[in-house]
Amino acid sequence: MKAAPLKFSWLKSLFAASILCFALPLSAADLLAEVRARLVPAPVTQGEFSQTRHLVQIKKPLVSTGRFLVVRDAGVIWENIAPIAQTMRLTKNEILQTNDGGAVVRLSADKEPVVGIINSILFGVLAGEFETLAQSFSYDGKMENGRWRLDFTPRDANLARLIETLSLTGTHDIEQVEIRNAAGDVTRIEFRAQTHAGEVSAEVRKRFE
Amino acid sequence: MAGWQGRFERIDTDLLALLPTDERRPALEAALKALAAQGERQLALLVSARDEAATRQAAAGVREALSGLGLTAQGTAADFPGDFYFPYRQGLLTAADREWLAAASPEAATARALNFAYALFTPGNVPWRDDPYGFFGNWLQGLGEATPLRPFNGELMVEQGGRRYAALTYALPRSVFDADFQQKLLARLGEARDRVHAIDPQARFLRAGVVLHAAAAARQAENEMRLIGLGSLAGTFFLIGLVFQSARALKLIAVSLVSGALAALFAVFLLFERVHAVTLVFGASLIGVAVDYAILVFAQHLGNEEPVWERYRKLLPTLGMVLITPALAYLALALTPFPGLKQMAVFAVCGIFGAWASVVLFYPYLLPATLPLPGNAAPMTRLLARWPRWRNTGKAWGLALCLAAVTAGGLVQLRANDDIRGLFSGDAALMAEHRQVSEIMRLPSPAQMFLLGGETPDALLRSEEALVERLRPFIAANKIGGFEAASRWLPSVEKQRQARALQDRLQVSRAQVGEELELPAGWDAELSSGASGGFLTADAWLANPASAPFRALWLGAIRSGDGLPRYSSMVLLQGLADRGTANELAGLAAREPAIPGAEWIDQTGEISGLMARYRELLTKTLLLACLLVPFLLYPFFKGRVWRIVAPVLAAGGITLAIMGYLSVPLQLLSILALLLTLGMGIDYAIFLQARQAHAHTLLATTLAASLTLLSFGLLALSGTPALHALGLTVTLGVALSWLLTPVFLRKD
Repeated sequence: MKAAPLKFSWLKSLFAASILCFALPLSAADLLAEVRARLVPAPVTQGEFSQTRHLVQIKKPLVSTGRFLVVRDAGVIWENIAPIAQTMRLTKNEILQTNDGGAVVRLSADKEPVVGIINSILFGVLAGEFETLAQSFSYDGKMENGRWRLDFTPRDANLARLIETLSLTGTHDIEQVEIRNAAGDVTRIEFRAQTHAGEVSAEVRKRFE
Repeated sequence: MAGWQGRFERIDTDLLALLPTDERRPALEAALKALAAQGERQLALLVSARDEAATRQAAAGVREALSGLGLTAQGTAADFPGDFYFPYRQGLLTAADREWLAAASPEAATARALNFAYALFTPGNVPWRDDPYGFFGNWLQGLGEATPLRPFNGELMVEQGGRRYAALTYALPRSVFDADFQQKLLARLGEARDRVHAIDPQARFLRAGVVLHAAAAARQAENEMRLIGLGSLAGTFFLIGLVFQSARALKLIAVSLVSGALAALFAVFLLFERVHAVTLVFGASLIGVAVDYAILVFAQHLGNEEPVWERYRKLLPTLGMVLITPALAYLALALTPFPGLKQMAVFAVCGIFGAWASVVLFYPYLLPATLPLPGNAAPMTRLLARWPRWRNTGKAWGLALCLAAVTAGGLVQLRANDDIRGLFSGDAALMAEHRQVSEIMRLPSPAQMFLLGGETPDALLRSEEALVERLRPFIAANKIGGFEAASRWLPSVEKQRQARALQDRLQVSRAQVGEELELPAGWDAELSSGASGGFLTADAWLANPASAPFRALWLGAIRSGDGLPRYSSMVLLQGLADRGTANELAGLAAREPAIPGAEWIDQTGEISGLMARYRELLTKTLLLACLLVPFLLYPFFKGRVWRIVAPVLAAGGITLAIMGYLSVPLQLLSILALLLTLGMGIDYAIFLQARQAHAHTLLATTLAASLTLLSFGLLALSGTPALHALGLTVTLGVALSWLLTPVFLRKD
């Protein structure tokens, strides 16, 4: 185990070199536009996710699965199904977490202005609105054979306390998100069975009211 | 006169300096001083352009425009306060979580901890294991209630109504009353505004700070001093030159004015630490009064061949009398506890005395043997002859009764208004801008607050907590936006102990959580109260930068009358808008069971109350003066006394009636103005009656009245409501007494 960090950094250098050799020489801004162009431009995206959290000093990875729904201009519904049922709803003005017992956390933008900032970040990630993200993060990435990876690092020290790095990978959809926070927790989310719709149904609208 | 502003460092433009201080309550004084020190040197700027990038660019432009002034940027990149509070977290619970914990079953608590473990997003910023239930995270979120400013990409941002503003707050390096610094700062702020608008013409640039009001007040005072001073001087020299046609007379007038100004300034600088700009504006209006004595003496010299000394001997009693009446009226100003009005009284009395003394002491040596008879007195004599005279006829009585009825109609409409804001108000546009900034940045009200006291820091905190419990319904009902209290960040030991006890009830739940997530035994060792260290104390809190934003609330130990230290703090309120709520809050601390050491402070209300009391007192003084004057004058004028008193009283009554019809509210200063009118009106009547219908005396009286009217008329143009009211009332009163006095002259 002792040699591991060395080995890892050696591997990383090699990896970096390979990127330099094979990756298309795209500037970061071009890359962002390129990725944006590849994503399916749909007002409604839904699918399944599986989320794995590695919390500091806790051996067992916390795996949960569920469904998500992203509606542009309306918000995000993040529905954890197993092992526990809870729903998080993001709208412009609030973050609402509910379980069977009702509301657990309700943060409203009126009382807690940071809600607006968190929302813009989570929205940027889940709806692929990278321009919003680029306002608060510096970024880097690569594109290879239609697969892309974007790494975001907060520009602001206070934001860095919440999110240290944010990495997205995908093709025509965002397929994986990895969030590391300053406390050392790592959350990895994989998306599956994503479908898109051009119209927002009344039923879906209602869920955001 | 305008030059004074720059030359005297001690000239004050702080309107609050005109308000009374309460020496009997050292804690209140300390609270107000702390608030002032905290607020006075602050400058807050908000910038908002079409989008975030433009806003940032605009903020950078403002920063650049203000560089080099020695301003200290405030509130940037504060350390995360969570690190400081972290070791004490078991004793820190929000009110909502306290309630939740008291009612929650172990299963519900377990569900909550698991929710947070699996959630995509959790409040706070500590590892899940250190705060599995998110209580500490919630508590830290409350920091957001204190201020809506959020650091965002290195810029403090605040959002309101869908607009995002960059907030720039500065502490000034110099006193806000430093005239040079004010001008420099204003110029740079203008430059900053230009830069912002160059980036986005639709951008918003809002400013708030005592320094802006001070600069506006200084500029206003300077303009008014120039207007009133130069206007009165020009009018005085022109009219005196026209009437007496003598260069010597003009020189003598100058001697008189310089003597008065020197005496007034000397006395004020001697007795007061700082001279208020409003005093100087008011002082400028005294020119019209100060020249009266010179005019009286000149009038006696017209075509008079008697030796100067002989004339003076005859004139002295009248001169003495006419000094005493206005001086007494001005002295009434000094009876009030308002330092600003006291200063005006000293200025006025000494200024008048200075002018009078020059007439008595220097004029006998300087006066020419005689002044030529002016050719222009003849029309005055003809006018006086044609002036309506009072006759004891039915027609006259009928007319008088009609006038009395109309006057009564106005008097019943007269309303009093003692609101302090009606006395000294700042620049309206600047006030509106200030209010907007306060609203966006949720700055607390500086005039209303709770003052708390306790024998020990902990007793003080317990009182605060009891008070805060009573404030919660007000927040829930949206009557106030929120509050700032030290105990929110520094709970009393009792409160911390309660919080720890509540968290100890989670033992069962913690075991369940451990099992569920396959955590090692003893994973929660640090979460039990036995493992918690000492309680968070006032000393530790005050010593750490985490308390910086709230430290001003903590006034610390203040020695009270009995020499024992007493700890004090303030609880400030945000978004307190209406008087009804203020009245409700006034009784909050005293409600049973009374909260020890808690007191409601309402500066606006208190001062307005004081103004009402003194308005009533001065009204009584005025009425008493009206009753006494006839008796005082009786030995000199015997049966003619009514001819002196009647026109002045009628003038006062009609003035009040006009104010009633025009809906000008009655306030402290208008009563003072009536006292002045009484003083001056009686003077004119004495002049005229003493030398019965003498054309020259009439000329002198007319001249004196015109100059007084000119000075006070100009004062009525002042933007300071107090001076405006004073100027307007005196102008009306003097004009009316001057018109009415000849009506009551005895027919020869």
